[in-house]
Amino acid sequence: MGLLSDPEYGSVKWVRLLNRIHGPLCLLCYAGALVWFLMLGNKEFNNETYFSENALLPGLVTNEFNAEQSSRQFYNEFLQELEDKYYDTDEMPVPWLVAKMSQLHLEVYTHNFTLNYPLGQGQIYKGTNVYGILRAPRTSSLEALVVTAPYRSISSHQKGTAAGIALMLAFAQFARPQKYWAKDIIFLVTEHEQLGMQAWLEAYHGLQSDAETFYTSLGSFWKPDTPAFDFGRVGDVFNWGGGHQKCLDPGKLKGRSGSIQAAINLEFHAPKIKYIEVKVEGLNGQLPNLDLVNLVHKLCVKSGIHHSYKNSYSWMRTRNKMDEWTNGIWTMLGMVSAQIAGVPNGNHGLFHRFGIEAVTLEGRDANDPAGIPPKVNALTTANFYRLGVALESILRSLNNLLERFHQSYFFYLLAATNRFISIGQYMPSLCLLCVAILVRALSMWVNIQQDGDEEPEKSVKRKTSDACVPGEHESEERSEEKVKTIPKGRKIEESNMSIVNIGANYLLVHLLGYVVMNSPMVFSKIGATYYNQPSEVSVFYGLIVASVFLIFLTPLMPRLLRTGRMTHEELSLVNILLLIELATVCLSVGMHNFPLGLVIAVLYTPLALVVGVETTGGGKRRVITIFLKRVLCLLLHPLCIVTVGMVTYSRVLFPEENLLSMAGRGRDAAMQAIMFSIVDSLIYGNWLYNVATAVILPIWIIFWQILCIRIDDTV
Amino acid sequence: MYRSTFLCCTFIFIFFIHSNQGVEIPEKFQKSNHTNNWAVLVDTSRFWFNYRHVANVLSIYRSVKRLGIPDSQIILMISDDMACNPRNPRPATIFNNAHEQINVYGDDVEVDYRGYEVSVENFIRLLTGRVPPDTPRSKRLLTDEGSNILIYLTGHGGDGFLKFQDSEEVTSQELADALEQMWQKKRYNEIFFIIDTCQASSMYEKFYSPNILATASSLVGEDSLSHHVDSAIGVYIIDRYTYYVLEFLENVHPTSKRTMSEFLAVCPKSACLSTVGVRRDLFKRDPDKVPITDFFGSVRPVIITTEPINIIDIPKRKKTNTNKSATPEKHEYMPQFPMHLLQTTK
Repeated sequence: MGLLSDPEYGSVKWVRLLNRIHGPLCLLCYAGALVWFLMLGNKEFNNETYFSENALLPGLVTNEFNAEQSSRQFYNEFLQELEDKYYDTDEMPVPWLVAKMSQLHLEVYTHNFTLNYPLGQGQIYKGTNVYGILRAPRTSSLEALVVTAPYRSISSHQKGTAAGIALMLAFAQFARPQKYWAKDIIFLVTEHEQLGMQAWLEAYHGLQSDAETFYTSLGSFWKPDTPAFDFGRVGDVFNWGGGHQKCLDPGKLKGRSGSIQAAINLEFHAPKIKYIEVKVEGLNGQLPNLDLVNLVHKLCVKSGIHHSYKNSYSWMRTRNKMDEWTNGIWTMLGMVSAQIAGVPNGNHGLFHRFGIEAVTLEGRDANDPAGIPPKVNALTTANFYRLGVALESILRSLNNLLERFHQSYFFYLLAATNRFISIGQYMPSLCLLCVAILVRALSMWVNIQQDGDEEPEKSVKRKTSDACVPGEHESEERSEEKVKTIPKGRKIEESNMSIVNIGANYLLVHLLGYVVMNSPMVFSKIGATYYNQPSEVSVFYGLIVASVFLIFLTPLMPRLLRTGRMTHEELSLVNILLLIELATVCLSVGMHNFPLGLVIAVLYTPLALVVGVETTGGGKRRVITIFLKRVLCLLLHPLCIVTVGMVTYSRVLFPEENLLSMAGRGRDAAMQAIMFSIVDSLIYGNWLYNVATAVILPIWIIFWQILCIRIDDTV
Repeated sequence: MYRSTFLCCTFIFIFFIHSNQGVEIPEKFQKSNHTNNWAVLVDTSRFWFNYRHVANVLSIYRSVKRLGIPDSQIILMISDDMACNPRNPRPATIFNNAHEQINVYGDDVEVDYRGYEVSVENFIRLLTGRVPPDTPRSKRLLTDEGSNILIYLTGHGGDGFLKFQDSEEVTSQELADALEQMWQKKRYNEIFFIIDTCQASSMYEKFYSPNILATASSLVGEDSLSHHVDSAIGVYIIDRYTYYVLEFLENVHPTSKRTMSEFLAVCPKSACLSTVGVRRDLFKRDPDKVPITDFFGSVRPVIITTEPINIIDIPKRKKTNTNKSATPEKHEYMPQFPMHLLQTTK
C-alpha cells in the first residue's frame, strides 16, 4: 500500500499515463488475447509432438497378432447372442461374456453397482460389469493395464460396440499365452456407459459409499477431510427423508490387480471402419499425458490405420499453409468446446481422476454422425487384423513402461494429430484477458485515491460544463471523468468507506450462489410433489424463478444492509474487488481446465470493461448506455448463456426448422444440459455446475448490483 | 675448420633424426613389461530400454574372456538383470545381434557387481582398492605395478559425467583423480580406457596420470547411437561403436599380431555416425607397435627349462624367529596437552 496510498502519487507520471490510456490498453489486451489464441493454430507457433518417455520404445517390436479369425467369430457369436436373447432388453449378456472369458483362461469376475438417482423420486438403477484379469506370468501383480469396452444394447441410439468387445476378447486370446507381459491386463466390459466405468473405478480404488475414509491396500490417496467432491453429502442437507447416501454405490470388487498405469477404451461398432478417432478429453477437461496420445497416433500410423483428431485427419496433409492454419484453429476450437463442459467424451475420461492415463479409440465409418471428413471414401477400410495389430503394439509399448506417465505434458492443446501447444504457449492468451481486467481495476483504484487531491472548484466546473451540453458526443468519457471528480467534496466529511457493509453484501451474494448450487434437490422435490413434473423441468423452471428473484432482489440488498447512502468509493471498491475476483477465478479455473477459464474470461471481460459506477443524472444518451449495459449483463447471466447457446446449437444442427420450434428445441436442450451438468456434478464430481452457480453467479450478481445502483451525486 | 665440420655433422645428424618422426622410442621401451592383465567392464544403466548397454558390456566380456583373461581377473559390473526382466520374450538370455546367434549371457558369466551394487562409490573403491576389509576376492581389483588394465564403460553420459543407475553420476574429474590414485599406489602398469556413451570423450579429457591410452565412442557434443533393433525382443540391441569393436575383436586371436592403432580405427565416422575420440599423449608407447593382446589378452608367463627340477628336494626355509626374546613394545598415550597452563582469554 506504500506506493498506492502515497498522497502525492496523483501527480506521478505513470498514474497520469494510466488514466489516459487504460481504456485502449484494455481493449488492446482483449484483442491481443484473441489474436494470440488464433495464432496458436499456426504451424509457426505450435510444436511437433515428440516422445519424452524413453521407456515406451514405440513400435520396435514385430507384431504377432494372429487372432483375426477368432475376432470375427466372437463378433458373429456376440451379435447372434444379442439378437437371440437380448433383443428387447437393455441388459448385458453377462453369462455369455463370463463364459467366453473363462474359456480364455482369464480370472473372471462380475461387479454389481447401484445408482440411487439423486433427483426425482428415488429411482434405483442396477448394473453389472464383467472383467477378466490376465496375470503377468513372470511378475507379481503390482501394475496393470486396462482394455475396456462399453456395452451398448441393440436398441441403444448410440453406435454399438460389438466389434470392440469381440476385438478385446480375441486380443485376450492372443495375449494369454505370451510370456512377455510385465503388467497384468484387465479386460473390462462396462454397463450403462460411464456409470459402470465410474462404479468400477471407485470400487477398484476402494471408494465405498459407506466408508468415510478411502484407505485401501494401495494406501490412501484421498485425505479424509477433503472438502467438496463428495457431492452426495451436499445433498444430505436438503434431503428431508434422511439417511441419504452417496448416490452411486460402487459395491466391492472380488478380484483386483495392481495399480493401473494406462487404459485403452475401444468403441468399434463394426470391424470394417474407415478411420479411428482418438478421443482424449476427460472429466473436468482433464487430459491424458501427451506421451500416450502420441503413442496411439504413432502406432496407428505404423499399423496402417487412418486416424484423426477433431478436424485433423492423418490422410489429409495439405501443403497449403492457410488450410493448415484454419484446420489447426478448428481442431483447437473442437478441443476447447469438448473440454468446456467437463464431460468426458468417452469412458476413458473417468480414469484421469485417478491418475490413470487413458484414451478412447472410436471406429468411424464414412457416414459417421460426427461428420463426413474429406476424401474419406477413398480410404482403405481397416479390418480386425489391423485393429488387432494396433492394439497389440500399443499394449506392448505400454508394457515397457517403468513408471507412470509423467515425462510429457498434462496440459496442452492439440492443433493436429501431430502438433501440440503447451501450457506455456496458451496461457498468455488467458493472462492477457486477465491483465485487461486488472488494469481496469488498477485504474479505478487510482481514481479513488486521486479524488482527494483535486480541488473542489474544478469538479464543480466540470459538472456544470457537463450539464450544459447533455448528450454530447463524448459524454461517456465525460461521465467517467466526472465519476472520479465528484465525490471529493464529500471526501472530507465522510471519508469512512464502510468496509463492513461492502463485506456483508459480498459475503451474502456468495452465500446466495451457494444456495443456488444446492437448490436443484429442492426444486426437483417440489416439482415432483406439487406439480408432478419430471425433475429436469422443475429444476429448469426453478432455476429461472430463482434467477428472476435474484435479478429483482439483489440490487436492493446493499441498501437494506445499511442505513445511509451508498457512496461512490464504496461502490468503486466493490467493483475493484469484483474485478480482482473475476481475474483470479479465470486464472485458477484456467489452470485446471483452460478452455473453461478462457471462455469465462472471453465472455465476462467485455462486461468487466464496460461496467463502472454509475451516477444519477445525465442525458438521454447516458440512460441508453446504461440500458444497453444492463441488457449485456442480463445476456451474460449463466442460465441465459446456456439457453442461448443451446438454441444456437440446435439452429446449427437443424437449420431447416422455423423459429418457434427451434426455440422449443433449444429450451429442451438447455433443460437437458442443465440437468446433465447437475447429475454429473453429483455422480462424477464434474464441477462445471458448481463453478457456474457458486462462483460465476455471485460475480454476475455483483455486476448487476453495480449496474443497477446509481449513485446520487447531488450533494 | 675441424670444429665447424664437427658441428655441421651434428646438425645433419639431428636433422636426420627429426625428419624420422621425432625421437625414436628405443626398442626396449616399445615392449610392454606387464606381468598380468585385468579388465573392469561396467554397465552403468538399468531399465529395460537400456538393454543394449548390458548387451555391450557382456559382448566385451565375452571377447576378453575368449582372448584369455580369466574370470578371476575380470570385474564385471552390470546394473540390471535383463535376462530375467519379465518383458524379455527370450527369458534367461541376452543377445547382442538381431540374428540372435550368440547368447552372451551364457552359463559361464560371472557378474561381480550386480544391480544396485553398481554405484559410483563401489566403482571408485574398486579402482583405488579402498574396499571394505570383508570384500570377497571376486569384488577386488587385485592389481599391482605390473598390471595392464582394460577399463570399459557404457551407459548414459553427458559433458563431463557418466550416469550411474538413475540417481548418481561420476564426473570426469573424479575419474581422473581415481586413476591418479591408482598410479600413485602402483596399481597399474598401463591402462586402456574405452568408453561408449554420449559425449564420451569428455570423460578422458581430465586424465593426467601416465600410461593411459583412452578412446571414446563420440566427441563432446555428439551422441553415440544404437546400431539396430531386434524386433523380436523389441529393443535396441547394441550400440554402434561396440558393434564395430566386436566385429573387429571377433577376428582377433590370442596369437594375432593386430595392433592397438588398428583397434583405435575400428569405427570410422561413416559407420559410427559419431567421431571416435582417441587420447594418446599420456601413453608413452606407439599404438602402432602395441599388440592388441597387451590389453585384451593375458600374459601367461611360461619358462621353458630343459633341466629337470627336483621337486623332492625342497629347500628348507630359514626360520625367521627374530625378536622372539624382545619384549613387545609397550604403547602409551601421549600426555595430555597442558591446557591448564594456557590462559583463557576472557
